[in-house]
Amino acid sequence: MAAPGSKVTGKDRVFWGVGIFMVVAYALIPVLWLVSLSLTPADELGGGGFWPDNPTLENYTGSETGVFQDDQFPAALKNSLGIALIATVLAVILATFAAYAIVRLDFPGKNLVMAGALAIAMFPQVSIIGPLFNMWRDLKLFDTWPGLIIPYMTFTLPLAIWTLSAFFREIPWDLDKAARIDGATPFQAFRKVIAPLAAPGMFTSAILVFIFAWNDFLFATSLTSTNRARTVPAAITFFTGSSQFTFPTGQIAAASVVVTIPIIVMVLIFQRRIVSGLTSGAVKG
Amino acid sequence: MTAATPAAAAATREAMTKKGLSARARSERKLGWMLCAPAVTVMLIVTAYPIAYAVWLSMQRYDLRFPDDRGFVGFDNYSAVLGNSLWWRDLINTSVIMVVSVAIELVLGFALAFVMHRAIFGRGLVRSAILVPYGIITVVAAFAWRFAFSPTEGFVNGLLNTDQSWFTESWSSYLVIILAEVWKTTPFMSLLLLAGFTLVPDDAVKAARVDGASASYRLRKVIIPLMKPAILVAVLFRTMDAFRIFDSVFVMTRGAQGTENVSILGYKTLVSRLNLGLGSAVSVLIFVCVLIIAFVFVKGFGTNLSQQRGEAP
Amino acid sequence: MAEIVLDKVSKQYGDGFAAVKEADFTIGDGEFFILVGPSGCGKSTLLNMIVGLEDITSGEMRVDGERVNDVDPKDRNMAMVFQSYAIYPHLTVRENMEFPLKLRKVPKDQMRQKVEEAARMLELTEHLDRKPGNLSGGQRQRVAMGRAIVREPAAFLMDEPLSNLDAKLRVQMRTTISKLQQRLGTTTVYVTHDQVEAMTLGDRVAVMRRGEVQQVASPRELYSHPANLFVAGFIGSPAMNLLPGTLDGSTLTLPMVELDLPESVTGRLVEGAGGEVIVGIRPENFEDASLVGDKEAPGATFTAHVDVIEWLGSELFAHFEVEGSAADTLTDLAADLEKVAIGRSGEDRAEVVARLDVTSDACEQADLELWLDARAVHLFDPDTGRTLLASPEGATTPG
Repeated sequence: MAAPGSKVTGKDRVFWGVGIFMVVAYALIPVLWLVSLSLTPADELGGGGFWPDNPTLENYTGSETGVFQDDQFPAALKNSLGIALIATVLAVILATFAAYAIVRLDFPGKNLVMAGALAIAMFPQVSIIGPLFNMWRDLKLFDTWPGLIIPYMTFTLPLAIWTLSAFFREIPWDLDKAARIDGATPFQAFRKVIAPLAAPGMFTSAILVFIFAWNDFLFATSLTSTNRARTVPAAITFFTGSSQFTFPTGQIAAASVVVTIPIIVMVLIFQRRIVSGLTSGAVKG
Repeated sequence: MTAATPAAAAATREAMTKKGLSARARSERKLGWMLCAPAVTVMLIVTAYPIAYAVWLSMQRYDLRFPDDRGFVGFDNYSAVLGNSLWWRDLINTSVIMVVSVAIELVLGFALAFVMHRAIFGRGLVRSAILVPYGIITVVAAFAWRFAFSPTEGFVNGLLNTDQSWFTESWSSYLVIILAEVWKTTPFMSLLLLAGFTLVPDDAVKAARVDGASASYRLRKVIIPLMKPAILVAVLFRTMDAFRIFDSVFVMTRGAQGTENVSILGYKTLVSRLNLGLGSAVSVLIFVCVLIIAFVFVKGFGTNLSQQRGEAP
Repeated sequence: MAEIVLDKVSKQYGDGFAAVKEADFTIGDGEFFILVGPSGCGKSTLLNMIVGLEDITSGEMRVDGERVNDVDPKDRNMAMVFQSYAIYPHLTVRENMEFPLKLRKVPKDQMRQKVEEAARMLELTEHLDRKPGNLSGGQRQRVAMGRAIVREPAAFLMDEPLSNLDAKLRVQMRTTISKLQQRLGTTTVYVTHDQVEAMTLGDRVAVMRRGEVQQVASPRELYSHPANLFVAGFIGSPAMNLLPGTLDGSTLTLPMVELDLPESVTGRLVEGAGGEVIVGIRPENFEDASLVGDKEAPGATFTAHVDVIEWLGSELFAHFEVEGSAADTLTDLAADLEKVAIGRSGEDRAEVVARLDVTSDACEQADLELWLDARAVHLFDPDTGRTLLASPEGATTPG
């Protein structure tokens, strides 16, 4: 819809068409660039053009140079996927409980939890890298999956709780009461009535948490040292080239593309949910 | 339906404390704590103890390379850091990046939000496109920008017909870093601004149109003032994020060419140089800076925020 | 079926606010009992206390003789219909009605039968497999009632169930609810702020104001023998006119006329009644003097200058002013009476509404001879607001 109160003209369509094209270009040029790089054979690097003259898949599957042949990358992919999924599931579950309690129940310390969560979201993660590094070493969590899952949950719980609270607040309080009068225990009321209605919210939170976990670089580099737990963002920075003197641009680009495709697919399918999740909290507070 | 509202329930609770909690209020309390406990525990493990530990470490001389040479030194680390010109230089770098990126993002974010809000077709496409930078891994994006601007592999030099070696000079490194940051995080800003758009009642804009206001006048005098709370929230969050920038800088220059910022400094001291004492001091100082930023914002514009937010539950 | 006894039941919040003050009455088995009053009077709170969603601060509540203060809502065997209906949006109508039965593990065929029976009673059969989102307000309301009916509970509790419906539908649903209750014979406690609903639906009505029960009686009793000024002004539409007056023996002096009170009135005066009083006259107790049939009826005639005429086809309302106003004494009530019974008019003048027969030829901005029926006046103490006339049946309920 154009500005409120005006009609749509042909000129408007052209204007918006151009505008949309520019927005899409803005968003996708770096991505296309990566794709292009990933398809560039090693000897063509340094050419200076946008697209390679002889596109090739050697960066993906080549025996010497393909990222899938490398031992780092597939392991890193597995780590990223596993860690992100587990962190997502756990974070959403915990956030659901907490958000429900905050919105529906009354207990001392409620506001403290919300304020604390907000404070954590604002926290400079770099500040705890040191102590966390030490702690994890002592607890033998260094370079392990839980070692990353836990901090990921910590930093995504605030956003998840925030999003889920906004969704829970939309569900009329009366439904809880009706269920309890109908004979349900509080847990039954939650399971049969509230949870189904909050499902969209849980789904949205899950997407937001996943993106964070998938994306993280700081913890991944600081709290891991081997393929055991190193995720893709960290692994990419440790790629070595085919020889000591060449920088593995092509491989890095290929790895980047592989790791971005799921995100693009997810965004295409769920763009509506993601936008509503990020904006609902802002509007409804 | 009156009654059983959270406010009433809270009041009930208080009353009961004097006579002893009713069974219902007690079980509600317990349930509330139990439901929050797991989330709170996870959040605290990674923050409460490490923060306390970081503060404690920051007051020690503790270098992992010389583990036996530990000792309590009070605020010595702090004076060392604050007295070091490196810290101040990095602080200025950080601030520059922060101010410039947020300013650009605000303007660009507005434009993007506008497109998302008013596009007469292709909204799904636009939204998806705008979310891609949000979803992309930061280091991946940083690499893309780094390669694009690389004199050997990139296309920018070819495009602009220049020979610039972007990452060997300070100002050009800054430029690329800021471009990369802006590209990546503007979508988030634009989403928050989009939410702000929904705060502006259509009627107000229509009325202004009928009154004869031009588009720019409408924007300045009607839309932006009504969006102020959302704008403030967006700017606050982005500012704090921008202050903490790390990934892009790390990938592109590792802090060289004078682009080192406070987060990189912290990382280097802690992880590269393994000086836990000094590094912790840097970390704590970073935290303090973020708190100051938040404080300034909330104090300076706080009344607006709470007014607009309306009733908190 | 259940008898519900409220024994000095009170509710007080932490900040000292008393939502309900010593409510004390009994709801009989099978009775249609109404709680009525202006916003904030505590009626919804009281209902929530009956169902168990709110705690009782002091006093005892008994259902069929057993104390239920601490019993959880799900164990009280009461069904509630909410103002917002509170039907589960993600379940079909059938599933909504089955919900309470499923929780009680009622066998499938019994469940099916009960649901279909209830659907038939409420004309919902064709909607059974639809989702609430596709239903109209009235249909949703009936689903909420259906969900309550299938449980065959000891009592139905309804919290302003008709408030969200449009006027016409409200009238229809009133009859539906009334017939339903008669058919099922279940004790029903019904909360409303609309005194018309209270009067038409209730067997007995409890009028509440600011947490206190003003009077508990049948609609007829409330109308003819209100226990205090509040009940008098609240019940009846248009509201009762309240004017200042002086009582001396059997002579009542009103701003516009002097009235000789008949034995049927003076005989009911309480001890010590006299001096300054507040007089309550319902609009229908006036009549166009030229149309009065029974010339011997005790009353008085006076001239009034008619300001406004409202002609409604079946009746006619004449608005006029008199010198003298009770507004100062009644300011306290003004906050709670939705219809301004204290006809404010401006310094020391009061607006009065009279209901005339439609054949009257009263005109606006003209004088009119009006007759006032002396048998129908209500008298109230200006300080306490309580009625000065005992009701013929005996003691009035405290107010």
